[in-house]
Amino acid sequence: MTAIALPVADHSYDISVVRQSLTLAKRSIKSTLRQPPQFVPGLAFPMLLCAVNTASLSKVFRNQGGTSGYLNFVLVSVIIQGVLFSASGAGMDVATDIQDGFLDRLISSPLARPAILIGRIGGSAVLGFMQGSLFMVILALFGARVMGGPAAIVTILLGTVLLATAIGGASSALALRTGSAEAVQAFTPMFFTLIFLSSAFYPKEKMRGWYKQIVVHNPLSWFIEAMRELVVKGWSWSAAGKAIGIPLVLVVLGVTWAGRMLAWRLRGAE
Amino acid sequence: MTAFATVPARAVDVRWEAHGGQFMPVALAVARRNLLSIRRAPSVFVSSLMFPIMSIITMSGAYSGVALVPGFPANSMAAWMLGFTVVQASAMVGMSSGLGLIRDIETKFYDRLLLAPINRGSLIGGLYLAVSARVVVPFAITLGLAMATGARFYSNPVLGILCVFVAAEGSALLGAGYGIGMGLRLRTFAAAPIMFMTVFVVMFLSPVQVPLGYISGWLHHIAVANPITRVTSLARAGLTHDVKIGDVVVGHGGITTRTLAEAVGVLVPSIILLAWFAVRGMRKLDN
Repeated sequence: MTAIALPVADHSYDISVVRQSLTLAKRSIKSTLRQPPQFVPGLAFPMLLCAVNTASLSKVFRNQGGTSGYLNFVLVSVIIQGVLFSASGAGMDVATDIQDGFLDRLISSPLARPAILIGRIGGSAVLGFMQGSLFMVILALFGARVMGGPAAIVTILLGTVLLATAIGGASSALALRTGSAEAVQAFTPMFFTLIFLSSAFYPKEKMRGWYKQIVVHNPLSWFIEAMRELVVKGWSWSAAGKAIGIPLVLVVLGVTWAGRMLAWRLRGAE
Repeated sequence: MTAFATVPARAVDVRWEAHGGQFMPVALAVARRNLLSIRRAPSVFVSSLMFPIMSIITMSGAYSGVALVPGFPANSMAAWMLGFTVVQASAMVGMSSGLGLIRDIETKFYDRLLLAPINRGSLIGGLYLAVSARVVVPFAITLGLAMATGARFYSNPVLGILCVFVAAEGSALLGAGYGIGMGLRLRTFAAAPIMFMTVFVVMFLSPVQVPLGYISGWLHHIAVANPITRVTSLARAGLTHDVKIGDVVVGHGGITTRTLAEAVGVLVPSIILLAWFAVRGMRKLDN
């Protein structure tokens, strides 16, 4: 009995955190791709809004001095909107794992604890990359151009991956704290509202009053404007720095919060 | 033998007969139950309110610069968005009656209703009555928020508000017919995203941020043909034009008369068509 049990346990412990994380990330990506309702809105909704906004606002945007073309102006917004829609799926999955007891089984297995989080959040990052690339290709087919060239494209995708990681971390933290998929779902519109309180869809110079004050102080506006500069003006080191630095700060905050919440839940479970 | 032959035939007819004064009491009871469900399970109703609230605040702010374009018909983006948001929120409230019905089907409560010797039409009529009452809440909230963020009617706010209210009731009844019809056919909550997305897409294929004249390309053609465009035009009538009693009641050939005629011309047949869709759904469920 002992002879059978020990080799299994030893073998499990031999698996590195990286391999465990990769396995869980693969599971996370597969489970998302198996559930179209989880990723289709994140693709369809931003594309629909982009198509409608471009047809509605192109003329007005031009009349008000927009030089880049509205499609180029919203390219980054579409990508970020999609990421905000989908990345919170990580939290939903963690909450579902808690509700159906899968997290308890993971905890009772000889699995490195960080792998539980890294797997989920890593899954969000990969999906964010896939989503960002897909949006770029589709919008390029409709005439969008990135003036900053390949370096700008790589920077934008890197910024997208970092944002997806940050949102994945924050939504996982919420899931670990509440243990309820409904609660995570109720918070999801909060992420989405942030983009409407930013300069994602129209230049902030054209906004007025208290709304403009919110937009100016929303970190998402700084991030979007830096990425947009790479699209409509061309390569700039300062814009690239902001496009990576701002989401990196959000990653640190989101992942740290998720880590603390995981530790809190583990304390309750053990 | 004759007696046996007539009884089943009457039993089938009974499900759709008016039963004299029975229609209204049953419809009112169904409506009352539906309205009470707001207090008992507020999540569906509250979530249907959150969208218009966020919509009026964020869209009037995000696109506030659009209203600066010379010749823009409303005094602010809040005024322009008020009409659209009320119509959208009302359609969502109407459609959510279908979600309530799905919940009843899934919990088997509807089976008990169908076993009762009551007119089937009154079950649908009750939901329509409830929707007509429920729509007052998003109407009032959206109107209040829009006014607080700078929306102003032209000379006659009473008639302007009346136009918004008629459009709200009309789109709520449209949404109800669609929601009930879909609910009776699909009978599962898994259909909710499809139902929401359909209403959402139809709404956004009308003039949302700018008047029809500013829209270009494919969307312009779709928006011209989209019946919702006429309904939002009615909702915006008092916010974009000077509405006078003469225009509305007597009809001097003014823009409001045309707007009203076009909206009613679209709303009445569409409401009838979707009510028929709902009734057909009930017949399918019955059989």
